[in-house]
Amino acid sequence: MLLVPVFTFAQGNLRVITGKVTDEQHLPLPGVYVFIAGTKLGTVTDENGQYSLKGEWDKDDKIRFSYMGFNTQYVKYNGQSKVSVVLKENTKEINECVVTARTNINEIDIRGKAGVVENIDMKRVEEKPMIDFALSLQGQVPGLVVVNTGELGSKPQIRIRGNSSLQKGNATNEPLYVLDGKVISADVFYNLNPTDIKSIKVLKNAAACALYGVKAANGVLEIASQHGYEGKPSVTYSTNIGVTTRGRRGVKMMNSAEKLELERLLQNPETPGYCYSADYYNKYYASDPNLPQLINDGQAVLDSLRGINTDWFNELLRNNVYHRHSVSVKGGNGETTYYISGNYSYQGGRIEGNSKQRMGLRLNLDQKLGEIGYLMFSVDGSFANTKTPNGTSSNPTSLVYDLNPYEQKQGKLWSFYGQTYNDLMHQYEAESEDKSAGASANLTLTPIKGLNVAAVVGIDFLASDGSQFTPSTAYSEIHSGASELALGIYAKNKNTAVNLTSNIRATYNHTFGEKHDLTVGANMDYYRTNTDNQLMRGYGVGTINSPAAINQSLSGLRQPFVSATRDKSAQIGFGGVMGYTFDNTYDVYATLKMDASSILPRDKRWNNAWAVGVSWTPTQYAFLEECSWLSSLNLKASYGQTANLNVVSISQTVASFRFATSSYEGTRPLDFITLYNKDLVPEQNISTDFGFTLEVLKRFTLGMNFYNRKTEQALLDVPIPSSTGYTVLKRNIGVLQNRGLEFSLNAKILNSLDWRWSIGTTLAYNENKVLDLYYAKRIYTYEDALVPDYEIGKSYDMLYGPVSLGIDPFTGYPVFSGGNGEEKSATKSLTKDDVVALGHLTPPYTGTLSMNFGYKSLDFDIDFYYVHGGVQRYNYSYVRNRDSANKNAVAGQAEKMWFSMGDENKTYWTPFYTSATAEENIALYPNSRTVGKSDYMKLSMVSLRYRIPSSWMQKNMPFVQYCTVGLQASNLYTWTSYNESDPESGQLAGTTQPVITFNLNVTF
Amino acid sequence: MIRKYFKKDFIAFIISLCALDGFTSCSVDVPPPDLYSDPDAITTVQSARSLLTSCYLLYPHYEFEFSILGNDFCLSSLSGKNIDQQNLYNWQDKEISTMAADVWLAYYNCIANCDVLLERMPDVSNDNPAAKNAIMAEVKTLKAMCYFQLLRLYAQPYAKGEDADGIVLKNHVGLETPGRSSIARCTSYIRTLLTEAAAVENTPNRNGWLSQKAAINMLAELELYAERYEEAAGYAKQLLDAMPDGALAAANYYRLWEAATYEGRIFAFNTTSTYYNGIQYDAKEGDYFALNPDLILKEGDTRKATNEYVMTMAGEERILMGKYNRRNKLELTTSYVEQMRYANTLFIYAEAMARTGKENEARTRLNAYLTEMGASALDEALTGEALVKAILAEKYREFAGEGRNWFDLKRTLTSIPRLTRWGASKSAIIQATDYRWTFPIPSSEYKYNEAVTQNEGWPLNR
Repeated sequence: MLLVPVFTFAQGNLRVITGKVTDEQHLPLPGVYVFIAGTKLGTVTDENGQYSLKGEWDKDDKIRFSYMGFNTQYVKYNGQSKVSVVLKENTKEINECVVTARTNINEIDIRGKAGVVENIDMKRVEEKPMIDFALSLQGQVPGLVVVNTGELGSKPQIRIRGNSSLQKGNATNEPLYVLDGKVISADVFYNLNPTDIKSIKVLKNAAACALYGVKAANGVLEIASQHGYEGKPSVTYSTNIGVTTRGRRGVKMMNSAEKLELERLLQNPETPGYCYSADYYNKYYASDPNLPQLINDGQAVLDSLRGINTDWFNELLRNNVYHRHSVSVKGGNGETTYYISGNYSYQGGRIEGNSKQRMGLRLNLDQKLGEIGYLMFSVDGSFANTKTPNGTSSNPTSLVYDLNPYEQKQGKLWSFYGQTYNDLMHQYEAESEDKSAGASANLTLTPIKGLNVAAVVGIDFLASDGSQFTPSTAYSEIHSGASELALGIYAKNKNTAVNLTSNIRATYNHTFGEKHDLTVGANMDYYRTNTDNQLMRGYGVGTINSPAAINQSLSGLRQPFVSATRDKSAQIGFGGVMGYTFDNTYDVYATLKMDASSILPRDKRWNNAWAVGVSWTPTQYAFLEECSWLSSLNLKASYGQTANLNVVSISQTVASFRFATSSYEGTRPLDFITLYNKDLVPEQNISTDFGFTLEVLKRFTLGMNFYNRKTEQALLDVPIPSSTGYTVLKRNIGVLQNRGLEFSLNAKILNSLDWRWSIGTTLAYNENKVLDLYYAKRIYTYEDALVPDYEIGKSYDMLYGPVSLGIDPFTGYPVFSGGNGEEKSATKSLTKDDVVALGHLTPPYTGTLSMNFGYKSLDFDIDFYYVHGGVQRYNYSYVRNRDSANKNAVAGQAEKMWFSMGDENKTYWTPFYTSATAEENIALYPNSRTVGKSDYMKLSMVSLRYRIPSSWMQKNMPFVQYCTVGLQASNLYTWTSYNESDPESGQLAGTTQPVITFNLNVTF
Repeated sequence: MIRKYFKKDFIAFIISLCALDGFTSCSVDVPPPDLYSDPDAITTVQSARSLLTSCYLLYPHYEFEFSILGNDFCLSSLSGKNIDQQNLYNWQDKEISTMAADVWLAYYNCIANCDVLLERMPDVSNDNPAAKNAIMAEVKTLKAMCYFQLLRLYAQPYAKGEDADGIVLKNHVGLETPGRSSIARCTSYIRTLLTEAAAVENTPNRNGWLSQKAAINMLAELELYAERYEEAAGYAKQLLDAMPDGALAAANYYRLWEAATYEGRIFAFNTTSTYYNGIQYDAKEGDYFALNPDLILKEGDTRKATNEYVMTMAGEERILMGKYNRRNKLELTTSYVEQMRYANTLFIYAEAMARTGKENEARTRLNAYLTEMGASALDEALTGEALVKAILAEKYREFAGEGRNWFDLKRTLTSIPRLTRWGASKSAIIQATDYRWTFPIPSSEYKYNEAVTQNEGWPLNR
């Protein structure tokens, strides 16, 4: 009864109208209700603003076009087959609107007055065929930086406006994720289904985030899911089916002839190129009477090896498939609307055994509560599975660089002595599964005019299971020396996280004296997080990939092992907000949030987040309103402070103890966890923002934001004298700064009903610097560091090393430009004076170029993403010296390497170990010639879609409302001067796979 | 219908939502579920004992490495298979530096944990004062043992002067940067700890707890180190007089190397993990080191059965290290790591008596033991320095491979040879004056503690 609205049809002629609904800028408006006034006959526009309405109605009936925030428009039906309308925005109406169905409780309009809130274009995200939802957000909004960190399924790095903390890693620097008002775990976010998402807002500055309090120090991503609408149920099926390709080759390796010649030069007797060469026989068998015969036989072996040329890149990496299916049903009546969806995606990895799949279900139900409010209820669940192949001692991707071209999948390998190809593969299996479930109830009431009360309760549950299995037949196990009964390793970890959110807010808005608009609000929220992690590891499983096979009778190093940790934390907060607008021209905004967290000792429990902001819209002045070219101008400034509690744990602030699993004289030990710092205080983020948006000729939109975010009391695990019994202690060490600029420009070059052409570009720049250190001028985080990791006045993601002047023709090692201006041989120890900044590890510039072109039913979108200004250290593992000559080498190594005295203009240093100091200098520190610019530009998305005309549809497939077909591709090509495979992750192994798909989207 | 329902009850619904918010928000006092945190963590005798247990487990065991450095071993045919150990045997600077860094941190880590317990003892309830006092005494003895080891490793030998730099004495748990106290100051600090511990009557029934006797034995050891021989002999005699029957009997000797607790031990660390397996290359092929031929016991010696292990290596029968290594080879578990036994007290007593001129008493007491074990007795004609040397030579034999000889060699300023394969010849001599006898202060200390000085001969790269 609730889900199936009743439709009644009057007898009459079957009529059909189609059309398009746009806003005043000719942008299509999706989700507009198109109804025959006074009936339940209606539909909604699709994402291109198109609709098709069929049914039976009379001439002179009115067609109603209604959309939240826009003036409702009526069009009289007098037999036309096409009705396109332009809806006018009504800003006044938003405030007067009786019921505003809001999915995020903190999403209140006045926040936008001073806060930097940007929307992600979900249409473009959906056009990217990628299974990693988080990665598809790359380049969507300036200042939101998403970095791929490795093979398919590895966790991405997501940052809003840089790292705010000196501590590296996701735990301290990741933004807060909020789905329909409830806090969700990062892993739940990574596995969201893009088609279920209506919008994502990126909250960047303190003024926008302050209402979330101390959890939001790194910014917030607010996600709103799709909801139902009033009307006949519509079913949408969409699919992408395609292939993934191998990606960039990066380093070209040698062919057999070249490799065998290199081996001869490197003179390692464990390589065929040398031990079958005439050089070898002449040296070791000079007096052998059969010498000519030996040389001949050797040549024959070499000739046969030269005949084999295995391309391990093609052999190990492969093309794979990608497919995604999603079905959604939405509809409802005037009281109740619903949205139900299910989806499945699969992406195969480049390496055998690597894949990721994802499934999800969602139900959103909205109930109107009379005239005064809405209740929204939502349930969702998802399942994601990632399979990782890994040799126990070798990563399959790295084998691309290790295996020789004269080696094959059969037979013994030279590159791995005594092993065969099979001993390298199928040695290890790892699998991880994320299961999540969530539910939330969201109540919005407007009991009296101007007063809005909203409450949300939500629960988010995530269970991550992982298992790792090394069979007893694996090479490493056979050679482990363990007894036969103890062979085979199985490990399983099970981590669960539960997030509870409850939040109540009241907002009162009052307009008086025509020009004054005042909003005040208050909120109280409570968050609770429980985590429960378990790990078990056992041996003796043989070839059975199951915990049941663990041999529990083993003792000593291979005895079964179980460990578990649990954690609980809670946070309560009270907040207030105030906004005032005068004559739609001046805005003032202030917010304060006080939060108490259980992870801090009682006396330091309360922390504040506050912000103030102003904005000015001069185009509201009469004299500017007249201005023909200036469509709108708005300026904003804000200042705020937020405490950051990430990664502060109770054991770091007070002495804490935990029972250990070992025993001593029958007594269970209670371990002191770690050295604590009772003076520890949370980091404080202080941000200042200034920005403007300018619209010219209603065609060009320019947006700019400047920010300066200081982190005071920055936390870091700093080294301490080891006589304390410990080597690091978490301390508040200083002040850092992230400064930057974000720029976006959009231009609508053609904008008519048939022709559409727009281009856009964004650019973000971020620089960071240590402003102050409280205890020392510089901090070295490890003992052999030549250069401090943190130094006042210096950037903290800089890579330091000496400037190399090239390879010395005499020593074969690099010559550096010493601190005193003189040349310094690598065979001498380097000092601090010899090193310079080689470049930023994190590229300071990121940006996009995008274009949309449309003609009638055809749509073409293309996105480019680029980064600039960073460096990565070359791996160089593919350059072989004498000791590693048995593994394949980079093409051209023989010409570029120094072999003997007098070799000039070489790139690679000597393959013969002659100086320990030089080898150490090269291994420990990068130099100007062993780093490369990580600049790249990526063709991140191409989409070509055609919407099948409604007229054709009506004739041939009347049961289909809308249908689009298209070709979509992601990460197709990367342009870079970087010499290795992936400038983004800097790893030889990791690169984002190109995906090319066919897309079909049908709505019934 | 839903609408009707809500019209009636939606106010109740809101109230219940608010109530949910209200109820849950009372609880920001969420204790971490699997942690015990101050101020309520260590308040009972049981929890204090558990924390003490953790301290016992943190005591580092470098007995094998100290034996490599000492006179205990010679190279075997497999030594080349473990370059690091061979380099350590040859006293390579780099290897000693690496080991010095690990050892320094490990002992200070144990000390820090002892201090964590000591700082919390005032808050422990007084329900069972005897148990509480026992914990106090044990943790002080354990802490003294750590400091004593550090002092003997990182300070020059006592005989070279007690005003030289000793080690860093900690005042409290946590960050501080004191300089090194003098050897005399360190010795007196350790003496105070042990004297306080020795005053507490504590007779635990298992070997793994530090008893009153253990504290007295440590005092004897400390006074021998500090050249206060009268006091050393006094403490040792006190223990020997109260020794259980048969503790030095040949018939009971094997019990020292069994897994059960045994009253003939004064103190031994309890262990459930593998111990001393670093010496073994492979169960079938043999060890990286063999026993120094000088320390091989004479035929007929009762101790030979447990202390030595005979195995064919490189085509011949070789005498390898026995004790724990023997148990590992026989796949027997080791439950106790020997630290103090009555033989130890006896050797302290004998040396101290010999050094204070009571040579007859020294000779008689030691000969009684040697005869009991089936070894040759010391020659009656031995006196003076020769007698002390003979006593020490017997001591090295008794404690071979237990990581003690190096400390006696350093204390007595004795040079030691490095032996070639199977001890056939000497490859080098480490002179008594060699700087490497004194371990380097690790960079993990001096880089972050400006007040600390480096030992002679070692680098200081601040």
